[in-house]
Amino acid sequence: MDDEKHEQFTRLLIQHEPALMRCILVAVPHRSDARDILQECSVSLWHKFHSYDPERSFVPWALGFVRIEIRRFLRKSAHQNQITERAAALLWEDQNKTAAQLEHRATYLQDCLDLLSKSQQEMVNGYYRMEYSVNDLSQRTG
Amino acid sequence: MNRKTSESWHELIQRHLDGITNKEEVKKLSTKLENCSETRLLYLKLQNIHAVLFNSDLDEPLNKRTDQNVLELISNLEQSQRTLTKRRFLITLSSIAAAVLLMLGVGYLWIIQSDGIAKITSIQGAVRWTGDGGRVIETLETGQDLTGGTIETRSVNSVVELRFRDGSTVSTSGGAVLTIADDGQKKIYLRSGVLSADVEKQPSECPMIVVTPTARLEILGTRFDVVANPERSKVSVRQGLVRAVRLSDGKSVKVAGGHSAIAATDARYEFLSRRSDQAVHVWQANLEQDRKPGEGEFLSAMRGLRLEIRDALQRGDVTREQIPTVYGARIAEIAEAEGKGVLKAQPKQIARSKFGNVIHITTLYVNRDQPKSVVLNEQSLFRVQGFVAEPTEIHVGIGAFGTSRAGAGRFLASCQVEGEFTVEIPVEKFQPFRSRGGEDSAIGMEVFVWFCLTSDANADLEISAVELKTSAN
Repeated sequence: MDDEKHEQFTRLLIQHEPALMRCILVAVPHRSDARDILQECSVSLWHKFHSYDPERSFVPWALGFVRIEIRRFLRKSAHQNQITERAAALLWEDQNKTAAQLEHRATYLQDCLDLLSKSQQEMVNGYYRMEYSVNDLSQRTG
Repeated sequence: MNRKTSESWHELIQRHLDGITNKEEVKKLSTKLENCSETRLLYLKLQNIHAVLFNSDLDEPLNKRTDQNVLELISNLEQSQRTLTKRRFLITLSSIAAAVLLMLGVGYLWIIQSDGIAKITSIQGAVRWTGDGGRVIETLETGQDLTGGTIETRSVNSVVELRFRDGSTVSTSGGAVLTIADDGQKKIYLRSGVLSADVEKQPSECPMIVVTPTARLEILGTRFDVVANPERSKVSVRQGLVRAVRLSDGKSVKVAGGHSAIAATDARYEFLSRRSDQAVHVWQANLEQDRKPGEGEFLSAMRGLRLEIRDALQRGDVTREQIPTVYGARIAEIAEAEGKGVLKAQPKQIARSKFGNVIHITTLYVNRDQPKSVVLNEQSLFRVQGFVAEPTEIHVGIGAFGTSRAGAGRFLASCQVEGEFTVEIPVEKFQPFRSRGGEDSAIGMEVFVWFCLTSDANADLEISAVELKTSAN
């Protein structure tokens, strides 16, 4: 792989990482698991990048690998608290159908957050930004 | 879906997204998701909020991304070469659980043992014995009787061989911890390290039991070697038959002479008996995966590059946008070279050593995950690359099993190095640590461990590559 390809890959991955992460979070909501899956995918994509056609969109190509990795994770974690592969597949299907609707809702999210009280905002920040667990948060907030 | 039902699913989905559902609840949710499009839509709506909030800083346009995001991406690539963090955590938990069981076993055995059950037939280096309800003896001698208790071989050149009353022998060497007992049934708990055994025929209802943190072995009479650590154990049988049970899932295999099996806590590794008599004569270390915990800190090449990029960003030498252009090729090169990095020697306190009280050591297990043995021949040589901050003497050593008898030996070669160094050490340069009537030469022996040490604290010894090759290639 020449330097130009490396640069192209790094750019695409940085640009589209949020989209890949969103797909993972549908099936695997736990953040550290989702990050682990993304880590696995990054190198898989790296190794397969020679087969990527730059004329096509990067995200659909990459999502194929992401879903394989998620299925592998769900299979291995079947005894843990993860949804089934079938449920995940149906959710992805529905996610594609409702993408526009869901995106529209997300644009109003910040307005909704602004309406929260300070203590509620701190709780949201604690969970999503500081990444405290639910148990930690319940102890911190009494 | 009526309001009440919807609320109950709303709560369950939210609990799942928060990671606080139990197995039954997730099963119930999965079934519902598989059968109800309305619930799937509810799930997606709630999950979308969860994802947007979690992912919000990543959703910013590229030019607004923080340096940290870029560094995290690079870190992702580094991390992806490793065992998943989560799984590691679970493995660690399993290992802790195994260790607790091991300790409970040890405690029980101390209580039931009081008479001499074995005699020391050979000893060298620092060896500690803890028996008789906690009495510690560090001045052990050949011919001494031992009750049930725990043996620690405390330095790299420590070796001890014991003979049970029925003539069965076990030996262990540097850095091992094992507990022995015999209440009519011989039991050995090998917490870590290496064990070689030559076992006389045992009653079929009372086989000898060897327990490691990841496996339980039942032996009716055989010769075998075990190398164990908290994450995996490799048993290599030379003669006879051993039944091995993997503790993580209870799966068992029969390992016959000339075969070996590896029991790892991580069930992704297959637990099979494989032929081990087809030896190989070459080996290349994976510094990250082969290192012995506590005896070498792995610094990945990606981590080094990440620090370099961070410094360059802080100095203003590059901008975030330039990172792919400037570092893309190196990132790709490093990501493809699994295990690339350096192993920094770590200090270790040892007793009665000719190297002083503190050594700086890196240790690697040899072919721990491979069924084939690495056997030295007359053309074997070790090629070692590394770095020292000042000219110093390093000592390169190996631990090896004999092929004609159950027993392990340690061999050492010393050389002077400075700066970035590459040394090639032919097998004949390796001399046995103190003579104890064992093998004089490592030729023909199976290597199970490699190490490099210095007593010079200022040398900052780093090892960047280790390879066993034959002088012909």
